[in-house]
Amino acid sequence: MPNDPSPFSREPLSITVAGTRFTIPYRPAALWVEAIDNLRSLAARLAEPDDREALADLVIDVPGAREELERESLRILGEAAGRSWWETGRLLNTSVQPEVLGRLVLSGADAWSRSVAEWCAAVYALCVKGQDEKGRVRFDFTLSVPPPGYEDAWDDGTSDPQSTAAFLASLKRG
Amino acid sequence: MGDDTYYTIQVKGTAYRFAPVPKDDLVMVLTVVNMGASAVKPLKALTRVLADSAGPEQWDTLTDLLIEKRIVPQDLMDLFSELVKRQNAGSPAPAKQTRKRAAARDAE
Repeated sequence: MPNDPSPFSREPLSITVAGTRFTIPYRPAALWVEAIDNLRSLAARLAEPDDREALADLVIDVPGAREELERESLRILGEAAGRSWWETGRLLNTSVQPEVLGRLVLSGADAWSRSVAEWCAAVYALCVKGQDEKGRVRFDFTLSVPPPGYEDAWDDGTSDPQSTAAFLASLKRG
Repeated sequence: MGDDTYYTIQVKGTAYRFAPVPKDDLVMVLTVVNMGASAVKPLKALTRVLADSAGPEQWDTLTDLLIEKRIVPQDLMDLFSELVKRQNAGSPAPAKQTRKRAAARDAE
């Protein structure tokens, strides 16, 4: 869970790689969108230049540092938006689709002046706008399904397999 | 892949043999390249991986070329890309066959 769940937060984030703590300064949503192409090194892309150099050295020299950087990158991607990292990633990727970006720009949203949480909230609002409850639930579900390999990280809000199965079946019927 | 697997790649007209690069090392280099760090970091990552792949003798030769500026860091990146391409294609040349071919060429 995020340290500061406020979507308006402009606080820095911290990561630890190979026992070294780094502070990632606040970055506007535009920079997150640019950096998200490389999830493995996202945190380094958002770090200050000197820290980026230090992180590169750790990744090259310390066994396991690359994997730690990847884990920390995913963690802050989720923490920054108060969502799971894959939801944040999907919303950020959706935001650069021409029609979505066009609508966001026309509505006055500016990725350079908004936090990643605010930007994701704007994209989400656009995606569910005009949808009935069923459509909204369907969208939420699609957004929440983790990518292959991360199924164990999925928290669907219930520990009851039968109700989960029933919920999935109801979506298919829809 | 076994010890007898390698890839032959030409660098400035000379053929060098490279052992397969472990997947973790491939990912490490790509991660560093994509981090947006200064150019020296990808070079450091590349030299680490290519030195292991080329072996000490060949690596000494390649390092000399680099110091003499007969090759530039981009050449090492191109070399790495070629190695990745060959490795992904999964068609390494077994050492024995190449030795046979070389022997046949020498006999001609």
